[in-house]
Amino acid sequence: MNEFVVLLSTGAALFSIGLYGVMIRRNAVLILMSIELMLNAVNINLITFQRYLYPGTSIGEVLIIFVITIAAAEVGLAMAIVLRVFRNWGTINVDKISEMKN
Amino acid sequence: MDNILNNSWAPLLIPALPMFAFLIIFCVNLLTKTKLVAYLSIFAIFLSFALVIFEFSKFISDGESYLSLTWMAVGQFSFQIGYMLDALSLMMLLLVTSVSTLVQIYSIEYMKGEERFGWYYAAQSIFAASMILVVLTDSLLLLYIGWELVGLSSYLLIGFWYEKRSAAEAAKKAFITTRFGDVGLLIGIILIYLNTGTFQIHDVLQSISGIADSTVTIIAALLFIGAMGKSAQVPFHIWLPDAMEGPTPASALIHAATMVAAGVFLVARLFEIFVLAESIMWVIVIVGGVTSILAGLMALAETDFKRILAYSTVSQLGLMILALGSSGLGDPEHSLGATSGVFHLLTHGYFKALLFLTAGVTLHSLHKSSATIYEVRGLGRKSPITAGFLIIGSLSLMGIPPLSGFFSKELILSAPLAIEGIRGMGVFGVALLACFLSSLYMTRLILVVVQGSLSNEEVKSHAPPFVMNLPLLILSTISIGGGYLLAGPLDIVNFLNSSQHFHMDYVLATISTVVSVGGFAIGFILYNQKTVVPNEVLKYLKPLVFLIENRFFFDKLADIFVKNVSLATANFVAKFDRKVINDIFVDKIGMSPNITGEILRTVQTGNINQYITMFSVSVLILIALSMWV
Repeated sequence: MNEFVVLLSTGAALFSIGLYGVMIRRNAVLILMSIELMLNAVNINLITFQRYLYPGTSIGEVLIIFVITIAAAEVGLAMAIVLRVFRNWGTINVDKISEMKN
Repeated sequence: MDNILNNSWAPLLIPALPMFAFLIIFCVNLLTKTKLVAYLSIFAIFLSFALVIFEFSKFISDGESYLSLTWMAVGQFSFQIGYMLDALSLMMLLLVTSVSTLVQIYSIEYMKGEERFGWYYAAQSIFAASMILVVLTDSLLLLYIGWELVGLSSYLLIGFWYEKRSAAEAAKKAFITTRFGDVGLLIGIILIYLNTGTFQIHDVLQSISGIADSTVTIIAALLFIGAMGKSAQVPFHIWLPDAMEGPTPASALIHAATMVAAGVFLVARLFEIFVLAESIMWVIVIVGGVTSILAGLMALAETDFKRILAYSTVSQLGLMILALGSSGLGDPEHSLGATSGVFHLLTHGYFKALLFLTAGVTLHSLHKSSATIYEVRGLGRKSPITAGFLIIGSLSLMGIPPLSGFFSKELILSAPLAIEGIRGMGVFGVALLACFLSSLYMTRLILVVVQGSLSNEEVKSHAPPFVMNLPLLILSTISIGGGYLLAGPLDIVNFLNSSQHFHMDYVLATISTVVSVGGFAIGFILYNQKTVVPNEVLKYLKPLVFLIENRFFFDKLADIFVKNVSLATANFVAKFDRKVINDIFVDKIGMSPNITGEILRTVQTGNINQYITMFSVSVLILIALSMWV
């Protein structure tokens, strides 16, 4: 039981750090890294719940494989966008890129 | 309805045929000049006429027939369409379809080469169709629809030459003036529905006696306002003389069979309602009397050929209304009912159509749409046939025996005598005076138009073509013999009102003949140019002449009414709409999303960090809420 709490706390801490990073950081690459942190926190949660709630199955593992795959694709896409943004604005500071306003 | 005897679909075709003709002409080409549209329209109305004859013979052998179909039912309310073929509607149908047919045949020549020839025939067809609908239908709702269509199509015909400003104005005047009456009719019909729960005329007439007297009085008053508008009774008569701006055959139709007949027909059709409201009957008598006298006087002062005829129509309509009112006031046992007015409506329809069509012939030869009687002088030399037709129509209108007008006027004059006491005699006197006036103005018309040498060296025009003379010939035959035929062998009184018979009261006949011949004689003396009226008499007549020349100020009164009441109300409503409805309700409510948007747009910073923070916070709040709930 103790192990369960420790694992979930790790996941929650990791998610909070990731969220904090997304909210605070101005650098687009760092925001992406924070998002990766959040995704991994979710992965930890998934494997923990599989271990303690559905032992003997592989539901969580399957889901994790999906998350990792999609995360990899997402990072690839996001990095490409960040590169394009840098080409256009000369910066990847998201505060400077407020074209969405108006 | 319990007495459905023999219901066939055929009578529904009577209004449908001209309507189809209208639709076909409308869809094919309104601007066509080919005579084909005329033939199509005439063919349709003639088929209707033949159908009427067929139904007439069926009526004589089988009696009345009804048909009532439910067109749609909404909850408690069901909308019925159907027809009601009784003596009254058959007589009216006969008049409408026959006069329409003749007028349309006549128009082939009259409207030849007209820019909107097809449009003219389309309007004629829908005019006939809507009037047939009015007289044939068994439902007050359909009657109202037909009633409005009659108004619309007469608007179209009066304003046929709408390039001419006066014609457009006259059409508008006719439409708006009759609309005043139509509103009364509509409210009356709604009141009838609220009180009896049905629109079927048959059922309404049966259940109307069970309604409170005051309600019946209001209903009768409202219905009569509708009749006043259409039948051009004072003070709504102002539209009729102006309606002369339309083509003359259209005027003939409006004056004889369709538009103005609708009002008299309405009173006759719903006579049982009017009988229950005695006070309204007196109003009807007074309005009819005043109208016939005033219009007769105005006809005396008028110089325009067609306008004289128009005023004489108003005057004769007044007489019909007066007769209808009087026969509702007399002893119900011996009452003529609606017959008194309807007989004159029929004979008047034919001889007035004849008069208008002869006027059309004379104007057509001058290539004018209107002319004063002095401009058309010398008709007797120029075209003796036309002059003969004119004289036949005029003598019939005067009520000279044995022309048709004599018989119907006899019936009209006998109606007031049924009222007891001095009041009956008073009404009788008014009717006699109106007859005298009509003799007088028609004599003047004949003397001026027929007499005289050919003025302004006109070329002796060739005789009017056969298509124009044929309708005139038929109409004048009816004007000569129709009255005797209807009064004698056919006994129209018995036909329309089975409890009575037509019987000639010889004293009355003598009086009426003396009055009309007297009018003729006095007119002959007065208007023969050699006669000089002494100055003292003229001085006496000055105020009257002043009044007549100003048309009794009715046009001015209408002007003042429109300016001060209608326009003032309209202005007030327009201002209310602009200031209150628009500025406060529409604009302020329209502003509210704007203002909300102004407040909310400050949130949209474009800063991703801020968005994420807001998103996360709101998710947290939602999670907290879901746990708390």
